[in-house]
Amino acid sequence: MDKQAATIWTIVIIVLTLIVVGIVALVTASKQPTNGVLSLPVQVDDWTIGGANATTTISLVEYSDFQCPACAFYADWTRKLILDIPELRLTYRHFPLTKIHQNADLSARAAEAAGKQGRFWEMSELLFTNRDKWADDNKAEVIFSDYAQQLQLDPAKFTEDLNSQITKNKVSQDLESGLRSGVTGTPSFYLNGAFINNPKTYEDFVRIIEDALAASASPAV
Amino acid sequence: MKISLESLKTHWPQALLLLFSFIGFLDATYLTVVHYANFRLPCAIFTGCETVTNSVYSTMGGIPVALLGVFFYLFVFLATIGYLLHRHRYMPYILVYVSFSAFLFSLYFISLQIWVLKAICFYCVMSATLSTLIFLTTVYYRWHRLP
Repeated sequence: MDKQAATIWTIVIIVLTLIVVGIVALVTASKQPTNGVLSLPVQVDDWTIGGANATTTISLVEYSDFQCPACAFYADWTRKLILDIPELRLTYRHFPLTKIHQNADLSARAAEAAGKQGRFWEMSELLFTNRDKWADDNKAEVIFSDYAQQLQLDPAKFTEDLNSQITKNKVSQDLESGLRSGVTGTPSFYLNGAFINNPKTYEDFVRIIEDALAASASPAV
Repeated sequence: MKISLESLKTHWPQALLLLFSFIGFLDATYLTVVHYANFRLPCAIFTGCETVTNSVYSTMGGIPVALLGVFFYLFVFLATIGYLLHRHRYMPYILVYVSFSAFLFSLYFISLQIWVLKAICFYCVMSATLSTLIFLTTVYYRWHRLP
């Protein structure tokens, strides 16, 4: 190899390396602020449960993915939370991690389709508790139809809603609002609009909510 | 090899290959970094990057498609420089075959975006266009037996 060729190769390798480093630095710098504030307040078409008979309520918004094991784990706690804390209003929003979970989007749509017939929370529970049975199934839709039957849903309407554009849009709207709120993983919780780190124990979870409730119930006069 | 305007005139297919593969390299590197960093794509021209780059089709056996793109463009870029400097006899043939495979890959991924994902990602379309242009350039180059 002559001297000129060697020089050219060296320059090329250096330039390409610098470009890769530059792109990594640029993307890292443009990283959105990590979880902070909920970008979209609770809407009327959100799935919200609890707090119906309370005068003061506290809002807990969860971004979740039915195929995510951690979400299934926390779902047990949130089900218990709404029973233990009457003031708690829990909102469920979809954040399907489709990159790592093949049925994340489909399961979110299944819950939406059940919700169209008034059984969103029942379907959510079925999805979370039976996660292992459908998570890696290529025909998860058949399993979900079976759940719809268990919940005595109209099967034709369920299938129609499962694949409707409205349902797909609803799921992607949730995903979008999650991304805007800085959600990077599931589950992510927002208590009265502010991000909270996932509590390590159920007791911690209760305490965080009760503290926030106490703070909002006794405003400085 | 002497670098001059004259050499650019005779070696215009190589110049095109360098240009296309360089842009492709930037594009694919960007997509790969974003894929690993799991950041949102600032996708202004088309919607749907989120859908495309996060779909189950965005990896093949655990390797992000975008990273395959990086290797492809890097290969074309380095092979073209190598050819200009050292004139390996078989390099033009190898480039035709490699870029033909990349072209087929692009066709497959664009069809996925149109018919399966029903979402289009600008950066992915750009990559598909570049690999098509690279393929056409290598074919033209071989066909006319250019220097």
